[in-house]
Amino acid sequence: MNITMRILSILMSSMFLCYGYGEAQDGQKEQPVKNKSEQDKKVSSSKKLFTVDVPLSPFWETVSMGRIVNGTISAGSVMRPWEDVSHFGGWPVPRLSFSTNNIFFRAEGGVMKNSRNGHDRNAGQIDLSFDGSILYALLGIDTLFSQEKISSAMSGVNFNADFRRRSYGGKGWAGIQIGSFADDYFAVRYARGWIRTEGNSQFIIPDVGGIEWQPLYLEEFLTRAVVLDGQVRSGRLSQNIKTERVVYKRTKISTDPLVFGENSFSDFTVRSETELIPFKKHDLIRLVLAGTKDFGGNNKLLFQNDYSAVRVLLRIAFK
Amino acid sequence: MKVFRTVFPLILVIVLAGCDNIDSLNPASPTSIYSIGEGNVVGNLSEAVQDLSVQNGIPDRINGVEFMSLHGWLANIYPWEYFPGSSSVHPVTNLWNPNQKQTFFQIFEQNKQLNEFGSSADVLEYQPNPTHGDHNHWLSTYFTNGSRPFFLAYEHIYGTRFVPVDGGPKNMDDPYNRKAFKEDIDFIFRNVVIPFQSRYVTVNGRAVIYIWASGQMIGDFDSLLEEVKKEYPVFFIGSGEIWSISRGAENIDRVKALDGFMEYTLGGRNNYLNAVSGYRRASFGWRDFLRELEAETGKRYLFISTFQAAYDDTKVGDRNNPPMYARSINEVKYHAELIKEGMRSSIYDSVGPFVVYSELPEGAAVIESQCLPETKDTPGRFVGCGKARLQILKDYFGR
Repeated sequence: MNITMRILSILMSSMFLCYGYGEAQDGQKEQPVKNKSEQDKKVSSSKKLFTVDVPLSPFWETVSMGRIVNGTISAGSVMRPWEDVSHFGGWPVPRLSFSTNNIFFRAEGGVMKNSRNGHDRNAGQIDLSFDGSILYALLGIDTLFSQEKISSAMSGVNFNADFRRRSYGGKGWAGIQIGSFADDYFAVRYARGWIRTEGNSQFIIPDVGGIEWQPLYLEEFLTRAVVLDGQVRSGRLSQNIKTERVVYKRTKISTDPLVFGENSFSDFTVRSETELIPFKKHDLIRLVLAGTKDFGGNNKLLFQNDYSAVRVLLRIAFK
Repeated sequence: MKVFRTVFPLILVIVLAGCDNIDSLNPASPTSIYSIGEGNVVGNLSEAVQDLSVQNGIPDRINGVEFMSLHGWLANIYPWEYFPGSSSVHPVTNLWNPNQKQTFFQIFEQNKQLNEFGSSADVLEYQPNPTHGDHNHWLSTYFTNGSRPFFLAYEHIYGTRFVPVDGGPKNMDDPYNRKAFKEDIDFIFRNVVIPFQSRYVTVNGRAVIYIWASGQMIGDFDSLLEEVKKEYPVFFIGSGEIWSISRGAENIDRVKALDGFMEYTLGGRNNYLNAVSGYRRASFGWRDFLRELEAETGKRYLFISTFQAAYDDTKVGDRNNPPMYARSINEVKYHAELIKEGMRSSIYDSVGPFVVYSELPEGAAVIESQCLPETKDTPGRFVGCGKARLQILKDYFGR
């Protein structure tokens, strides 16, 4: 089993290396390979794992401010520039996960704050996902809610307007899982879902009370995704790789891509997370280096802020 | 010679002014409706329409002013008399005399004002019924006066040749009404669009005709619109459709057959802020609905915004609508901001907005007006007499 897992993981890692994220993999390669008895012992003793990840780097990818200012956010990545990297302060967005051999639960969310160029950005998002498997059969769901408000984001002729966007949706999947979520595993998932996003503005005008939020855009999409991910744990290092291809299909056909965006678009994301246990005797404390690369349009940003290309997280793990 | 020098300017003024009584005696042939005679009578027109189409040939394309090339707001102007007793907007005297229609020179002054305040084109209230004087009024005061682009707001509700003549929905299943509609369009083309095509507003070479209450054309109006569009290069803009997303096959078919939409009014609610907010929300829903229709029909529908400064028809008899004024100038500016933002975010097309300039009884007119005790701003009530309404339009939508 472990040999199979290693082969799959190496295959995925080498794919990731091709895109310039070799450092983490190199680190992994240098680790001595444990003998089989040690591995078996580890698997049997790691059936439950609870982790709390706290990001140490405050950078997030988000939609370019210019796209919000000129009201073209709903056109998505068909127009450029699309993405931007923002330094968000406020309460860090923690990630909790709980895994056993055949259950994996993750909750990630929090509040992000940023104040730059006269705009106060307040974002909040929560993402919950659950996987459960019996034998090799895997089922799971994921739900997302995100909201962002930017003060004075839009300039009118005489007055400015606040901007607010909200997204929510989810997907369910079926797939195959080999191994243990709490240790080494490989999983393939096919997912289908739905997501909705809306943008609103509210003018700020002195002496005019009762101004309401007004709609700027509202789009719904059906989503399909194929997700491959795997994990290998070895001594003080572990490597997790996740590749995800998501296709978004607009439920209401757009007749002009430059106005309403394309009817169908996709993201192809590869995410690598390398976990290091600095002190072998105190494996409660761990460090995670996460690298993310999107080879599609990075359209996910239409719905929520996403990880920046490189992130460092402090992990506290309870076995 | 001395006598000639004295008399000639006088003669010139009278001829150019085109007073109605003179016009009726000396129609400006060939487009005066009095010169067409029996050809305009409903009963005799069906053959005439067909013959004219075949014999004289309606051009496939009008060489006019393309709509999307216009930069500035659209001024809806009227051929009616100004009756102070039934008006809540009172124009300044160099633009309009009480109890009269505007003269050639007043239209000239009006054109100057509209240009100065950033209007790009006019929308002329126009009743093609020969028993009305609209055509000859415009002929003597507007069509040969200046060079502002224009298109017609086809008066299809009041004083029509339809059954019923005044008010109320028109049943377009009725063969008589169908014939009257085709005759009206033919009349408009032969007497306005083609003779003055260099000024006429078009969309891809099709002459724009505004049907200000298209929802009142009930029955099988869609097939009639399609028929007419095959015979004439015409682009129909409807109104009154956005308030409830069309339900029922008849309504949806009518909307599909129209080519664009432009509301005449925000409605007569008594709270200005609610009216402008409601209009914006309805517009958003309408653009969404049009997107579905565009995907289905392959057509690209035009959606032009509407700016309204106020509503007050309290001086019109038999009406009980509450007046609607903004509480402050900033509420009117907010309305303009919403339109501008709606254009930016593609809810509306980037042309317009449509603005009532000189319909005086309903209080929405933005024409330069007298500041009388009743039309001055008061705390909690912004009227915008003088040029205040025009200034807002210039600031937001001026060329």
